[in-house]
Amino acid sequence: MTLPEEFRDLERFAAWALPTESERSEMRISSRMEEISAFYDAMHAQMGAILPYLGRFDVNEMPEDAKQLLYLTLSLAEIAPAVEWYDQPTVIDGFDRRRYRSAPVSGSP
Amino acid sequence: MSDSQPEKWVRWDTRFPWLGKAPVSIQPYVSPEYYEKERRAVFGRMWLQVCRVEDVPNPGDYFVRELAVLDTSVLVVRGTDGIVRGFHNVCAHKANRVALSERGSCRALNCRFHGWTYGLDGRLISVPDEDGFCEPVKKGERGLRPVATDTWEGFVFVNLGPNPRETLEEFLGEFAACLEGYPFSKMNMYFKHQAEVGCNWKILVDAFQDGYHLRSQHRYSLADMFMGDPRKSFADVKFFKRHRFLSSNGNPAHKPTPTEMLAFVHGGYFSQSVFPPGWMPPGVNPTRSQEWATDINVFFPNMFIQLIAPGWYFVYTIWPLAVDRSLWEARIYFSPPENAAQRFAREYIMITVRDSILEDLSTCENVQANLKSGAIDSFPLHEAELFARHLLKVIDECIHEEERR
Repeated sequence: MTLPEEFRDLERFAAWALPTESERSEMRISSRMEEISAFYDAMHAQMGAILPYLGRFDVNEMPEDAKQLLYLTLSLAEIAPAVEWYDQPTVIDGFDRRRYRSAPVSGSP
Repeated sequence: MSDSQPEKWVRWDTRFPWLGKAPVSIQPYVSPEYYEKERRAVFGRMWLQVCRVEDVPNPGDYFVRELAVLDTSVLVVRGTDGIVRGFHNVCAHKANRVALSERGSCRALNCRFHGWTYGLDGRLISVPDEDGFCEPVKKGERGLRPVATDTWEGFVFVNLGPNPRETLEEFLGEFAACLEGYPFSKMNMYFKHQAEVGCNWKILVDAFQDGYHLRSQHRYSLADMFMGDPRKSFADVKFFKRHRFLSSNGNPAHKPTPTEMLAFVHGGYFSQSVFPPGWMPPGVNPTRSQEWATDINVFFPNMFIQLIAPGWYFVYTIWPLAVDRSLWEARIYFSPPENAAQRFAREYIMITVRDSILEDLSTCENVQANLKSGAIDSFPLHEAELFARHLLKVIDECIHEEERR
């Protein structure tokens, strides 16, 4: 994975650059909380620069490196409740995520 | 001494005395006999929302909705004339499924079993080796069996009754009329989720029209956004002939999490309005509350349209599979993101909605499993659970009407 120049240090989180909700969710529930927290902290440290950078792109016409960066932010959205709500990877006392099916998003990438 | 007396609270249930106040029996949630009556009198008679017109945007596009509760599969297809029609997805020859995938596009509907082909209007147009049939095939009588189909604000509804007693417009009545003009079609990017849940369909409906469970069930997630106190958060409650409505305020003192804040600030979380400025249909936030957060529109029997701040909304549909099993479907609709930062904000909203739903669904299964234990035989209800009474009342009315016929 190659990220835009100014965000290269996030390439160590390449495993989180996943294109679908199902893959990102599987990554969340199969990770340890320390791994999730490390990713959360690293992303939040740079989101103030990442979102304005992504704000320049139409989602349908993104260069590959910016698209990988977007996928990292979508993984941040995926794991945010694990850190901010539950303090564990899965929903506390929740329905089994693997029984909850996600279809690909319709009408946009 | 304060000059102002605290305003005396009038409990919501006492404002609707005709809904009753006694505990409700668990029988409608567990009885196979009652479920059979519901299948015929409710799902076999009412208008049911199956998809949106954007699911079949062009002539030849089709969408299939499995209706296990009625032992059929409905095929919705847009004709060359632009009209959206519904049919039983059943070949008129040997009953095979005509469309095998949930969605697709075709010039004609072709059954792959023996190759019978139907026009997009359901007419039988071609039969391979027609001369070989023992009796001539009466093509005019062997089209796909139509299902009454109509649309409201882009939502496609079907009615499986042989002769629907009401038009869709009559069925929706004033409940839906006051939502007309809401820009549903502009929010055409959506996330779809499905899950088979081991509970009666009404346990699921109740879970999403329950103002009492927020503070406990959603203590980690949504409770702070809505305060969880119906005395503060219920702005308006309305009951229609069959449908029902709740308008809810948010918590002005809610503290956003760091990621929620990013979605809010950078992504157009609440800021990207698809309303013309200052304009809203009368049925949205009808009290014009400054602290308005969401409206829950519950369409009888099994559909929710939940309206949030401008730019997104979600639709839940709950399909019975058996007395104690249901198919949950959520579609979370957004206006398409203008840039990749907004795409992040939409993902965050979707994930928080999804995780909140996961909190509900596990409880629904626990409840259903426990109903079989015999430990309790009724539910005492809180004022903020009054919607459950209305659902049961309307179902009973449907069953009585069916039995009178």
